Amino acid sequence: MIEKIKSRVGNSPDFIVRELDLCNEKVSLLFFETLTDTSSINECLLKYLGYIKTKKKISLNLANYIKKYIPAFKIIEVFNIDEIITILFSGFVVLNIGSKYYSMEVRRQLDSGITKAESEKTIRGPKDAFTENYQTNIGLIRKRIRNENLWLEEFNVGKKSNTKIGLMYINDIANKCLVNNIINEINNINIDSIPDSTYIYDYFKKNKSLFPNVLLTERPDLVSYKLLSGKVAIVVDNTPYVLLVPAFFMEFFHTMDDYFQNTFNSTYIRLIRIIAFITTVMLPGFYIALITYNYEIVPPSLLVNFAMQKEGVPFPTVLEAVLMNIIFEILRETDIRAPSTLGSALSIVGALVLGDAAVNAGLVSPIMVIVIAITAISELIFSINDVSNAAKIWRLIFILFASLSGMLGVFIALILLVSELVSIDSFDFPYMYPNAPFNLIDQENNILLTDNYKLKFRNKLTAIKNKIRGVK
Amino acid sequence: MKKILLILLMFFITGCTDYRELTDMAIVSNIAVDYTDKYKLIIQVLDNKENSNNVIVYKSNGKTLEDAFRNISLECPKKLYLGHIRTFIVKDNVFIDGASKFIDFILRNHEIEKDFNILVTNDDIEDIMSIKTELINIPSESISKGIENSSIVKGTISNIYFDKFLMTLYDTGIEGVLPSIKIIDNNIVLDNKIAIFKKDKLISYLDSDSSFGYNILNKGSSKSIVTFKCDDTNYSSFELLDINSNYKFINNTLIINLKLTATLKELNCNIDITNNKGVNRLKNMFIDEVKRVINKTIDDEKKLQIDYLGIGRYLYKNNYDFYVSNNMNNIIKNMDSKINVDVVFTQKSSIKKGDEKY
Repeated sequence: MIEKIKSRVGNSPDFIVRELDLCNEKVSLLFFETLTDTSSINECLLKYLGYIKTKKKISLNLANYIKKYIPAFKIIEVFNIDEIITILFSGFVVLNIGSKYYSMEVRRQLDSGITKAESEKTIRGPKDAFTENYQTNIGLIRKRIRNENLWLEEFNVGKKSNTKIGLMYINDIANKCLVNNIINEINNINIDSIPDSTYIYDYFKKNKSLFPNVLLTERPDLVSYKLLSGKVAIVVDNTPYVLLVPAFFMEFFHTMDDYFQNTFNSTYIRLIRIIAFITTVMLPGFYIALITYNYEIVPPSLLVNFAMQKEGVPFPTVLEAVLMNIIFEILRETDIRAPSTLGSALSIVGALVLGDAAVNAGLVSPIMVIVIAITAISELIFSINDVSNAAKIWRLIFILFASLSGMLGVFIALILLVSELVSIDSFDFPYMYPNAPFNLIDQENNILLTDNYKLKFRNKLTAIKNKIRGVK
Repeated sequence: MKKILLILLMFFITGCTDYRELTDMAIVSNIAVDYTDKYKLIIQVLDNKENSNNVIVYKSNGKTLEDAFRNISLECPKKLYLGHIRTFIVKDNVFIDGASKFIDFILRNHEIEKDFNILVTNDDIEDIMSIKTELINIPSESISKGIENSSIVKGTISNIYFDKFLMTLYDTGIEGVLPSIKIIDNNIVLDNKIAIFKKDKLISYLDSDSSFGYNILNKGSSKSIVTFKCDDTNYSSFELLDINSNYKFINNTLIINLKLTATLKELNCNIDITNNKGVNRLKNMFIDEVKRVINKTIDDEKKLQIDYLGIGRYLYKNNYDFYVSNNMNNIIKNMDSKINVDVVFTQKSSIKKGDEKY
């Protein structure tokens, strides 16, 4: 049997078979040294087994004795070779006594541990973030909702990787239909491995839209908040990002910090985020339309100002805008990929090249630098990468349409953008809710955030079973 | 595919694709026109060069205005852009032949927005266009801001944009008026007189009193002052805060009802305004002055027989039979007028001793 296992795993050098002789019976420990905590095997298991070696009395029923008294909190008997291999890969030690096989967990911690949230920072509120460890992630959520109704369903997805996927929802709030829908989708996944939770998201995605229809987050507090408003969380092993389904477009303008601060402030900041989104999508296109087609709508003094800055620049405005956009994207990409030691050098070069030298050399107009800078800054307001990626592509569409027919083009692009947004659905939930379809009560957590809503209501669309959060 | 085709069609069949770089055009801000045997055209183009707020002047002649504009291209390297003109200065002898002649050019040009100031002048346009304005560097900006400001605070200037001028020019029963400018000491100054038109020909100018009356009746001078003699040598001023005017025409009599709100700005006479007697004395003098000014306006209308007040329009709308059966000139010549002025002094700004009541 042991030889069989050895050959099944390809005689891996990290597969260890430790043979012991206890009371004239052969006992062997099977484990992967890379997956298990070897010091605890030494300290606990081997020490204990060495201790019972001297006791002759128990030799009659060694297997039962070990099963009863071995210092492990959980001991499972495994029967066939497939089970043994699966459990070995999960970081268990398999103890072979005669023909019996017992397994004990001595998993080694292979993740980075609970750290601060990196991409979704807040001023107030908890700082912890999800890790790569499935158990830890589930624990972080359970810690926040200590309730019997927080249900967890587990799946193993990936033919080769066998990745664990957990579906979490609150039974007396969430829509059962939605849960069944998601379970179906997960069962339909047919792939060899799931390297990241975004793979699941790709399977969920039915349309060609650029905007994400699930919410990806690394914040356990956000997940618990959304679970309580009737959403379903999908935890994927080896991924520090948890998926929340369904997602609404307006939620990308919300952060967890909004709920921890004065609601007037939150409303103001949400308004700023919406302005930033409109700016980052529309500003370059709008500027091109103004300066090359629709100069009538610019006040004369401003137009002269534009003309003064544009004087001497050899490129057409469109080319200028696209060039600056590309240069900014290059800078951004190198800043992400380059080792952090090169960061300051990069920013110096970028600032000098973009900000000063290009203008002085007369290659770009100063106003275009300002336009692209405002656009780029506005893009960075979104912690969720997918939204800024979508905004990036739509910005190019706006630039293209504006360069073809000015303001008319900008508005054609705007119509296309709006029609794309309203046509998305996330698991049959309308993406633009509560704007389209309009819901008066949920408006209080749309651009607005009111104390009344914050303390009283859940989302009317997702929390169908229990709509009241509490009574103030 | 069909959808993409539809979107593409939107670009090409709407005709809204007029691509022009900002650096390829000359932004015209001011136009001056004169006509003797052919059109004389002077334009001011905004200077795009860095740190200069100047204008560049181009001159040309032409058989038509369009011809004159095309002739400028011999001198000016960029295509003229007329969308941002602020002022259009016309020498008065252009209007003697009739305004329709050059208005046709403006109406047919799709680029020109119709909200610029149109002005009449007596002086040579070449002199006017060569003057540099001090406070606001761009002359057209300076003139149009000046008209906007002084029409509110002075009351003898009318802020009339081209579209309003056009409306009064071609509307039934009302005649057009225009503000005018002149040169004093090498400076462009707004003139106190309003140019009045019959049909589309410039006939005469109203003097400053009549202009003020015209503006009061048209509620145009909302923050202007009324100054009058309050004893033998001294004057006082009241600022108008609110003007509410309407008129009726009954039995050959023009009845004007004016409701004014005013506040005391300057009192140089020895009038005790702590009691009602003094206030009433001031009030009467104020009303007399307003009546005098408006009477002057009406007298001028009767004398010139030009209906710039729009009595004809009033009759056309309210008493059509009367309007059709009578000659408008006779009506104006023979009409009587009755003016009712009602004034409320909101505050008297007590400064002097004993004024505490107000």
